[in-house]
Amino acid sequence: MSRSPLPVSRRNLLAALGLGAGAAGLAACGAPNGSADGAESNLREGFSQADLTVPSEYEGRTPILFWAPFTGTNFEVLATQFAEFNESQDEIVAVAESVGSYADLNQKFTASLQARTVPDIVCFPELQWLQFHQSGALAPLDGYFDEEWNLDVYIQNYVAEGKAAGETYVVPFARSTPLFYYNKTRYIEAGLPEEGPETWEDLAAFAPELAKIEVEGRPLSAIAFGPDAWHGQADIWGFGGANATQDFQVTINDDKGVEWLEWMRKFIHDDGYGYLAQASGTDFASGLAAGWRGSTASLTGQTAATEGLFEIGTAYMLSKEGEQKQVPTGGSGLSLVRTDSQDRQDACAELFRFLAQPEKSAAWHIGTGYVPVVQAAQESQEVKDQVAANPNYGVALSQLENARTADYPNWDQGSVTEIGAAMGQVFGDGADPKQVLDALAATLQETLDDNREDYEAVAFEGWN
Amino acid sequence: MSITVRSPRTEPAVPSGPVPPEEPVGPSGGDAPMRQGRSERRRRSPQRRRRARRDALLFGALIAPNLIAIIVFSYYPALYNIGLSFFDWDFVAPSPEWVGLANYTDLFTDAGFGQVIVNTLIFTGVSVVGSLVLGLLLGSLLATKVPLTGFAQTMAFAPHMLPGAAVGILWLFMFDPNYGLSRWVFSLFGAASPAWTTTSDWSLWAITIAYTWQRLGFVTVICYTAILDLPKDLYEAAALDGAHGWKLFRHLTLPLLSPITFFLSITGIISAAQAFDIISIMTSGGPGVSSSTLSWMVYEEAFQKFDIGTASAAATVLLVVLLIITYVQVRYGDKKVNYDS
Repeated sequence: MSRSPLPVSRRNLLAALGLGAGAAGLAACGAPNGSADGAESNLREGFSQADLTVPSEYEGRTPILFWAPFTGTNFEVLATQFAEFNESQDEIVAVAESVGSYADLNQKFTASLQARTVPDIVCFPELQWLQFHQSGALAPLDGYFDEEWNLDVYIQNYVAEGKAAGETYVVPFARSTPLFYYNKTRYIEAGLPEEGPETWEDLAAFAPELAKIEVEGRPLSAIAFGPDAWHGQADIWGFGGANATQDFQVTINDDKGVEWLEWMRKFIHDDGYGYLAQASGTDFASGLAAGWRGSTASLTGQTAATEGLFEIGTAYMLSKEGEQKQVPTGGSGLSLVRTDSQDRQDACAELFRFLAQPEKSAAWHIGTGYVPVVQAAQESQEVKDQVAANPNYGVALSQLENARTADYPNWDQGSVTEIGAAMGQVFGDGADPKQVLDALAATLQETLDDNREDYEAVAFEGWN
Repeated sequence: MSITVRSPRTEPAVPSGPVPPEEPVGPSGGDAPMRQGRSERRRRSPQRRRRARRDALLFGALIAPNLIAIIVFSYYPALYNIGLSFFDWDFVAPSPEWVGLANYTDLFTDAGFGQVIVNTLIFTGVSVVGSLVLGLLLGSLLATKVPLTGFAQTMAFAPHMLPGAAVGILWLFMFDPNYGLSRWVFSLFGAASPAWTTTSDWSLWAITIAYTWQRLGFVTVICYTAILDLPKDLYEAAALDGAHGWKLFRHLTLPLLSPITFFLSITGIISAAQAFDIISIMTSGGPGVSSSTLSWMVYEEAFQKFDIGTASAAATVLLVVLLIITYVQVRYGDKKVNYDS
């Protein structure tokens, strides 16, 4: 094993020669605060590997540890791929430990940085990895790229989100978009189009028909809402608005934003066709609501959960009539944590290379519902067969044409929480959208102003 | 000449073993006691000094584990937290930025914070008083030897044994307006169940009810045990004087139980103000901040927004509020407590 790509060695050499900041820049260590602790390579003294249990048959190999924010089916698929990797060669053993959700990983990794006992690989959603990059926790990957494995192999929608200041810190892995799920069986029963709604106006027209169906003694709701900022991003774009401009101005409380939330408020509280659910996916799967918005990554799990109960249909995320449909990219990618071992970092790159093989990416997609991030995987026979067997996977794939990076406020986890809370006030309480969004905009602007310098340093390449 | 004073209650009738040197006490006034004390120390034998040192070492060794644990796990984090409240930090940036009192200023000028304080007071007050009143009633009822007392005791205590997360999930099901127990109860009256956990009108009450239910078991069992321990002769005397039922409870049971209710109210307030799991499971503090308490706010600011300074400032406020409440309780409530029983 021990792949030691030349650029890394050169970096170390240049650093050793003391060529200063200019050389460090050339050596791809130009993260905003990436060298705040004085480190000038992928290595970080004093940051040792967290405890892991290596299966006895793999003892003696270089162990690498991935704290995976996946559970259930998704973690099982991941474990299978890791087992295949461990069987594929004889010098590395990759261990995946489920830490729960993205939020759990965020907390655990933060604590591990304080304790200086870290995993080798992490997997953070969208652009929330930036805070860890800015603290110098992640290592650049460009030095490992070659003819066989580089950014060109991936779907390009997701590549720019892994880069900062021209360097790559995340390669796509578990990427997704939000998707509109509906109960096709109920739609057919109500005499509605099998392909589901295309616009919010469609849903408003379908809702009275769905409400004629009684479930547990109550009219069937057209949709169970969740107060999720990710969905909110697709919504506000679908009404022609935006959370913020690329010039760092928050616009969530502009007329388009108010129109979006007012439409939702009326649909829920005046018309009574939807509601704020505690767990919208659960309500949908149990048949209480005829629709919900979820990640493409829920597709396999939801399909299994509703098998024998009803048929799931999927559609693009809804927009207002006449407006452009757009969805934020989501999910996460693989990052290398700066630790004290070059061997382990090289081993991690080997794992990333393995997972970027088209057949592995296709298997991950089929097993979970996450998008096949490797371009060649989309063309593979396995994926084509899967789409033929279940067209919902095809909807998830074709919606990628509408995928783009979320606005700046969604880059910050605190702002994401604030947006979700604001949506909850309107969805749950029927609060006045204008008042809610005005208060929210002030908070978001303050945070954005605080983050502006860091975001500018990222020199994000993905806006166009 | 020295005067010795010996307590007749501690003096052994027949001294056994070596008789300890008598403690000299000088006449009142002047510096005689000090001089005599010094002379006494001079007179201490090397053997006694060794024993005193050994006792001191033993004392230190015995309290050290607890003392170290308290310092490391209680006082140090509390002081560290207070320190962090003067910084702006996201937990992962290489160095926190000193901001002075800005976090406190932001906190107290934030409209939402007032709501969080009110929520905390309502949640704490209602759950502590509610569990105390209901626990006293249930404890009294159990003490009257109702049929299946053992079973009733177990049932009453069971909620306290359940983890908060399980209690939260259980009540989420019961409160669900689509298929929960709440729906069934309201349907008996021809009404629709409120959306307990997803509307501001009800969310705080939903978590308060669930938490009160969870604590009720503990309070009930403590009260029940305390009632069984009350002196029977007082009740017999009161009964001879014609006291029955409510009068007995009001004028005898309640005063006699005052040490227990005092203890339960202090621990209840501290526990309720720190409640987290039920809030996390049932409402996540929402919608908006309608069911957010100080303890939830600390978590949300620290681990969802990664604003450690604000979280630490809120935690410091919580600490101060709890210290004040506990001080007031001990200072004034203690006078109302009857320890004679």
